[in-house]
Amino acid sequence: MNINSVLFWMSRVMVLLILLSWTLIPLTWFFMMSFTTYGGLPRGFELPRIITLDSYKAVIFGEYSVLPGIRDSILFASACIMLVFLGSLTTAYASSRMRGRFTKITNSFLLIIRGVPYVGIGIPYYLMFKDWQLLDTVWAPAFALTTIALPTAVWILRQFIDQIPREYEEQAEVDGASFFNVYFRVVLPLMQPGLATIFILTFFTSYNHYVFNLMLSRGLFSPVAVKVAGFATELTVRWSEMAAASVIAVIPMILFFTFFGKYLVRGVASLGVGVKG
Amino acid sequence: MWKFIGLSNYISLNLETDLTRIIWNTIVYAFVGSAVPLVLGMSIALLVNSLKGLLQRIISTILIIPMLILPVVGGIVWSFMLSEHYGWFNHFISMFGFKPQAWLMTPYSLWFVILTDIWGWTPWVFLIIFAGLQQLDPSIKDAASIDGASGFSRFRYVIFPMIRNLTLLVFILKLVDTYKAFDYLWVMTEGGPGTYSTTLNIIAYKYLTIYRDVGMASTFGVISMVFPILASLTILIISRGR
Repeated sequence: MNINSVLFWMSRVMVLLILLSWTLIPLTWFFMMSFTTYGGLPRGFELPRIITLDSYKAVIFGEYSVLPGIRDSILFASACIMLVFLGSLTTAYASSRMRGRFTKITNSFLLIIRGVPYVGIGIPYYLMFKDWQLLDTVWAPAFALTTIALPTAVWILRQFIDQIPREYEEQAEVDGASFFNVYFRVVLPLMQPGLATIFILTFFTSYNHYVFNLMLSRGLFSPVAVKVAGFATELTVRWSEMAAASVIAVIPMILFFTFFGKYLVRGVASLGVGVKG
Repeated sequence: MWKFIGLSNYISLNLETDLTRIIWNTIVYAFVGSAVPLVLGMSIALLVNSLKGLLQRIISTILIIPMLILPVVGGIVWSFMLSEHYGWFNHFISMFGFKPQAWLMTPYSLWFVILTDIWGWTPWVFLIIFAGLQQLDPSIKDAASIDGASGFSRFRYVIFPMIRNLTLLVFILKLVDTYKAFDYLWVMTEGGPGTYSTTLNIIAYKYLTIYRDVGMASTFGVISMVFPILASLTILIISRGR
């Protein structure tokens, strides 16, 4: 082993250590915080002075219980995923296969919609849902978030459908399959990696979503993001409860990622390598 | 209940003296907050991809945790870390003789929010590009190194062309998302101090909730549409040129 490769190896270890500490320092701090009380908050590089499980008790069983928040978050994520699937499955197929004068314009319009600021979507939805008395239900924020998540899903799914050779569909048509048969029996099975990808991405966007849940709810429907942010009030921040609550709130996310992470890798893989942009 | 007032909301934009700064903040946040994670995330993905086996699994799992945490919590944690007396950041820099400050109360607050945004969203870029790299056939890379390609030129001429479209896709999605970033800004500074970290999205939300002026809020909403429309038109024109 010559000196150059030793230096190279050492610099790689250094970079990895820096990266890991950059990621982990805030998380460590935050994990530590969940085991202390307000009086035991450490200053600077100290360890907490009091170590207790009180805050976990409070956020699981006590008055600050975060479990309803997790239930609402999962409900919200499921509603979003359902709406996104309903919309994107067919739209993406149309946007990939139909060629007209305005196809290009409508396709680039999809990204404009993703760029609309939250307030621009939130205000009209707020007024509408107030009239329909849908505020404080899962549907108000779910519809609002779908406005943003749907175009992205269509845009991503279109990249997948573009990769499916048209010959498959033509062949099925020659064999006498109807339009819907072609769609459900030929195209849909081939879209599976794409469906997995948008399923995972939509879950990621919706489970942690904050703004619409803040705007379109008056406190009765509160997913974890709103609940946890509620620990930070004007006067004081309940650090230990907040930390404990978010440690619990991240568990479904980690479970989800452990189960479905590999499908994202597969989906991205079939998307990424050698596709037209 | 609604009254038509023509263009007067747009005219009263003149009264918003910091409009230039707000637009500038929005653009800085969008570009720095998406370009840095892209470069950083891609470098990390390349580095982690060159590791082997269990070590790779462990490190890649640790590196994506910031993405799984609630952005709201990430913002609150960072604002505590940057706080004057308790924060680790100030303790760290005071070891080198710098004066501790409440950084989120200074005119540089925007940069600290961008730092947090980079912390939170680099994992996203890393995850997707890493997934793409995992699928590349390792024999291509080996062939390139046998032909004598150095580390950088191997990346530039062999690996990058294969993940170029994926990179473009990630960059576009990240740029659009960062452009309308809200969570970190709102939790950490609420746009303050003054308008030093206010973006179009924040000012619109402020007009809606604090000043209770739906008209002005919508006006800012419309203004912030200009940039995405321009960007989409650019993409349209570029793709037509091909």
